[in-house]
Amino acid sequence: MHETIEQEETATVDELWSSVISRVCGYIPPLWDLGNYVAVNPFLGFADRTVSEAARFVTDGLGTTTLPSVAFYRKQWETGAFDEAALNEAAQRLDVEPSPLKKILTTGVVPTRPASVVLTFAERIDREQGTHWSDALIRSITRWCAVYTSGGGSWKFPSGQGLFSSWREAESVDRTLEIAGLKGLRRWVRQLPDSADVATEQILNRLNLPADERELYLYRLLGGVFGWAAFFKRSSWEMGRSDGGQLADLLAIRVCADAAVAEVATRNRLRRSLPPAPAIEDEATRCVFQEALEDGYASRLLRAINPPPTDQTVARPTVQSVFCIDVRSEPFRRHLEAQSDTIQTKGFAGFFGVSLDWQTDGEHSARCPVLLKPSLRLCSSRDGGPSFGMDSVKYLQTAPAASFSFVETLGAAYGIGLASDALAAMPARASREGTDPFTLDGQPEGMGIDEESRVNLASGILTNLGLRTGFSRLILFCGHEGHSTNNPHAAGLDCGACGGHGGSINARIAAALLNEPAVREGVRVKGINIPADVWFIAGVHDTSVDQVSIHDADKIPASHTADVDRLQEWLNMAGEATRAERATALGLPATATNLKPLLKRRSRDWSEVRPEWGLARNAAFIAARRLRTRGVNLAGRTFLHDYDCATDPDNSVLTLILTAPMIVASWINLQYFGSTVDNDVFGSGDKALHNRVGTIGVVLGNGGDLRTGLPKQSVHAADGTWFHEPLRLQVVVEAPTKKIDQVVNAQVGVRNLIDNGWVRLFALDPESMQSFRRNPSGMWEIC
Amino acid sequence: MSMVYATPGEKSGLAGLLTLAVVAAAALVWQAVWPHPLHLLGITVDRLSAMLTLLVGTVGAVTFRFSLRYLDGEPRKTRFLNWLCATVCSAYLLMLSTNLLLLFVAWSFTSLGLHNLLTFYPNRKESLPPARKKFLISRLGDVALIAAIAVVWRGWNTMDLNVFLARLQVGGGMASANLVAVLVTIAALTKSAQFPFHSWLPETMESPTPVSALMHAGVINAGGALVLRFSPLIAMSPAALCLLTMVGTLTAALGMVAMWAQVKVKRSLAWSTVSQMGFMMVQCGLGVFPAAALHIFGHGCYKAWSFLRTGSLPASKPRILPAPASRTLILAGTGTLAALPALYFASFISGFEPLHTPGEFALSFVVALSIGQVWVALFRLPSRGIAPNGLRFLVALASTVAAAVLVFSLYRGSQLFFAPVLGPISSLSGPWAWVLAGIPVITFSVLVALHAALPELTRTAAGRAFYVHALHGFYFGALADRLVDQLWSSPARKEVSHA
Repeated sequence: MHETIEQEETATVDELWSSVISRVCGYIPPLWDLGNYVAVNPFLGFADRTVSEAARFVTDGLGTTTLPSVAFYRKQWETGAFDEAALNEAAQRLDVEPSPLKKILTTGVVPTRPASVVLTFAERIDREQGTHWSDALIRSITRWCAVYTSGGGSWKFPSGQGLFSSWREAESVDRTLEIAGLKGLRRWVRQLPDSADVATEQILNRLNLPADERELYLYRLLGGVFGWAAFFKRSSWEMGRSDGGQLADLLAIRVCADAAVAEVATRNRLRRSLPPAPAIEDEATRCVFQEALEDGYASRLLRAINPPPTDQTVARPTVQSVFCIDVRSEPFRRHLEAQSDTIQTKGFAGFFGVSLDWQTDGEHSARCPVLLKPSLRLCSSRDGGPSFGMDSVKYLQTAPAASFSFVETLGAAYGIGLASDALAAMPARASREGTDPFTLDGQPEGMGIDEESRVNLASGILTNLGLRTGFSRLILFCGHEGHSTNNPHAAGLDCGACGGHGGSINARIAAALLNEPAVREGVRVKGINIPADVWFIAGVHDTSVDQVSIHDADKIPASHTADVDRLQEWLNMAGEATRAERATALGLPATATNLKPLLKRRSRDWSEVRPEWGLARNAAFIAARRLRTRGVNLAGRTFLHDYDCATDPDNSVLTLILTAPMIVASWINLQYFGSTVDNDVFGSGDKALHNRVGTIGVVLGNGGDLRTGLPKQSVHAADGTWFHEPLRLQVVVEAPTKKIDQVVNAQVGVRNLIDNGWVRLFALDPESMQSFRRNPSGMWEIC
Repeated sequence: MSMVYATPGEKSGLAGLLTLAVVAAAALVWQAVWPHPLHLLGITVDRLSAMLTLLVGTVGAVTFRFSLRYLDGEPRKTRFLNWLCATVCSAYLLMLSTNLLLLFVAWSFTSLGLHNLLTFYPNRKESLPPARKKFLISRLGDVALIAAIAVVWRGWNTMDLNVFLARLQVGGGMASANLVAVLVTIAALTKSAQFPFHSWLPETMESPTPVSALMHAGVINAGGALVLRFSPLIAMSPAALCLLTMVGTLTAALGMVAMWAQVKVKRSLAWSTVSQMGFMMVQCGLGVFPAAALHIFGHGCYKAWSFLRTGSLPASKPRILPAPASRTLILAGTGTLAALPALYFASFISGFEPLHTPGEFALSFVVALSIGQVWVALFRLPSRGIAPNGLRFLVALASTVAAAVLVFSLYRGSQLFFAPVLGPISSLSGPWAWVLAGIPVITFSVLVALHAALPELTRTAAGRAFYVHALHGFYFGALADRLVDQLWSSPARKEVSHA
């Protein structure tokens, strides 16, 4: 009888723990490796909570700063970024008492709350005894994570075991922590069960934690290894699995190591006296300030937008250029359109609808937003691969005996490398994707795309782009890529919609597809009539130098060469103007006549920590007809997606925009937000300290946790101020509010983001200058 | 054009360091053409010091230029650049000094400058333990060097190294000379991160990358430079030679095995430095000083570039195919055997005699082992580019001959080039010298076998445990940390208990 009851009790405890574990694993965002580095929303796991609630939880759990401090808002207030009316309005909207707010900004008394501190056992012992076990454990565990994921150094470590059992085996022979004073640790680890689940259960049940502390305790354990947790999260996230996978293994390691310190470092019971909780500036108050600050930006943005056109008839443009929605396209598009009224530009996700799995040199990578799965496999038909010589050199550098002879014979040659790199004499490593030959046919086996899919893909691209009629003679698909050297985060400057790669190959495939006569015939049957005199070309916007180059020039028919030449001239002029606009922020004189060589040099300078500003200062996402923003200086802060609600009767285009490009934009936006506000936790710290772990990621200095977000130099200016302004994404959609509601209400994920304040949604009336804001309650109000 | 961002002060700093490098290059050319050393105000300009200052000056100027943009936005950048300049200038002076007092001053200032660079970020708490370790080890080196200088002063009544070395040739005072040699060797071992004074080196990544480049390419050579400067004395002292060979071999082996296990790029490079410096010391211990000078120069260029380039992602992972230990060993052995006729041929062409002294024999043996590794690399790489095995065989043979001729020519060249400074040194011979040469020869052969067996070894639990030990540098760092912690914090604890 007794036994049964006991068993039942254990069963309920087990169930509780496992649900807590899967919830805590859900709070961790995924992280991609350096070769495929893309922006991730660090608060991804909290979309179903309001910003204020989530900020509170994350601050308590990770000990971070999630929102800017009141001092930041005070400065904005003093410079007039928002006024009292905006403050009151924001307070009302968020249901906060408005009267004390102004006083907080003027007198400086900030309401605080005590942090709810749940510490790990190691942290508690450290505070009571002045030891440093918590840091030592994190160093030891993260070091093993690095070995496990990279499969060892030049000495390969076999990958046969799971993460937990490999850690258990290593820790049971590693003497480091014992030498530091944790006597008996190895024996303690040896008696752990071999299975991560069993070990976690066993230890957690032994720890005897109060029920209300369990979640925060586990979250804090993962917080100490946030970067590796995120890295391990990637695989289960990509497979859409809810169980932790390797992340659960990592949590098991953290649980065991923490218990080990508790049981090995101190034989006597811990006092349950918690340290005095630090005071944290109240999140709800700061959320109001954030809202008011953004109201200021949003109202300036909405006022700048053009009235709807009265005359819908437009003459046939001479050229249409499709750019990525990336904020860096906006200035370039503006300057390109300024060259001639007959130029039309469009904004579309930079993979141009081509969800590609691109294979080159025997390695393949996904060239589409990480939210999608590649549906099309192609490979470069260029011969070659990693050079035989370089691989041999790599081997000899670490081989026994040979490494000595190597530096004696070839070492002096590196002196030439030193000199040429110091002078930035070598050109930046050019991506070959602008010139690599490829074919759409199924060569070799398993690659390519069949006739029917080609037609579907082509008509999908045109429909989603809103380009079913009014084709110009020349249409440019312009991808983009950044250029920098010696930069582990170079992929972060490339196209996020192409999975952290340059957009050349996607653009070339889209253009090749749409130039095929059979495809043109196929889409004509589907109701899209592309005139015979239309030619599609592909190009790439080098965002570091602001120069657009056109690909496959040899394939352009003679009838169009004059058009292309004229376009290239316009593109060059636009580049000139864009460079001048960007120069000041990069610390260069805007009047300099030689900006192009200066920027080119910057892009190949091995010591350059700010080759360009990337997507810093991004603040808004506008899905509207270009006529509404044409000629408006949006200062490179907006993602621009073309959308004409008149051509989208079934809402399918808007649904796609809000569930894919808008989400990607908000991931980027919140990555910049987090990296700016707390670079230590959500960013990747000072580039001068980066220590690369293979192609996986970087750590700072000697070691420690893997870093996740943007380097300090990408968000903070050289004078130490924040270059990026932490504003949430202001999403503006040109459509009737009813239409938008239909889409938002049908998409839970999107609605969560909007209603909980992770992005803010505005509607732009297609027929007037009126605009509306969607409130947290789901109601629209005029603004 | 490239300097649009630099302030006038930064520009003059760079100009100063560039001048140092250019002066050193000019001195090298001058000495190469007209090998008559210049002694002036306690410094000596000869082929050795010209080569060493060229390395320090070049690496200094490149790291300074690198830091200008790399530390853009660092509020204490000027302070950093000042310390960088000070460290480079001290190391530059150190390479030139032959007045022993001046040498000691430059020696200490280099150490002081480096300490300030290594602890540049006050908020990086992790930078302190290794910096403290290094600080204590450096003071130990200072004591050894001071003691050596005192013995020289007492015994030979001079502060000038050249005068001392000249008087030494006259004879007498062998016991004191031996003592000086051992003390100088100890000082050099502390400076060049030799066992057991090595563990701070792989832990000093807590300051900006250019510091690592400067340290691993310029400053770390100070120990080797000291030994080379004292080489006529060292060559006379069996005790010093034994010490250099044994400690060097141990350090080279330890550093190499630890390097194989590392996964972080900078840490792997740092362990590689430990290992390379060990080999340089072995070369000194076996009396092949010109080869050691060549090693310092080649390693310096390679390591400076490698550190500054750590941001670049590798284009692709090197894909050496896994193979059973036996096959790898057969490849390595075949290559080594194939190297023998090639080396004979190379000896004929270059004039380098592999069997002349035990030191030259050991050098040649290492070259033969290296050629064995070239064979391993060529035959275990996947067949891309060079597909058929027959073609590979031709490539391997050609590489063998080319490598043998190149290495021997370089050795012979450095012998001839450094002869006015480092030779003719009474060549080491006799049975004990051959026994000494056997130590690295056997150790590196064992390393070749171990390296071949690693994949199979790591399939066993014991092998994986060995990996873990290697990853942690066999715990010498942790042990040293513990020791330093007790030394460093015991005065602090006493103060607390008194209060």
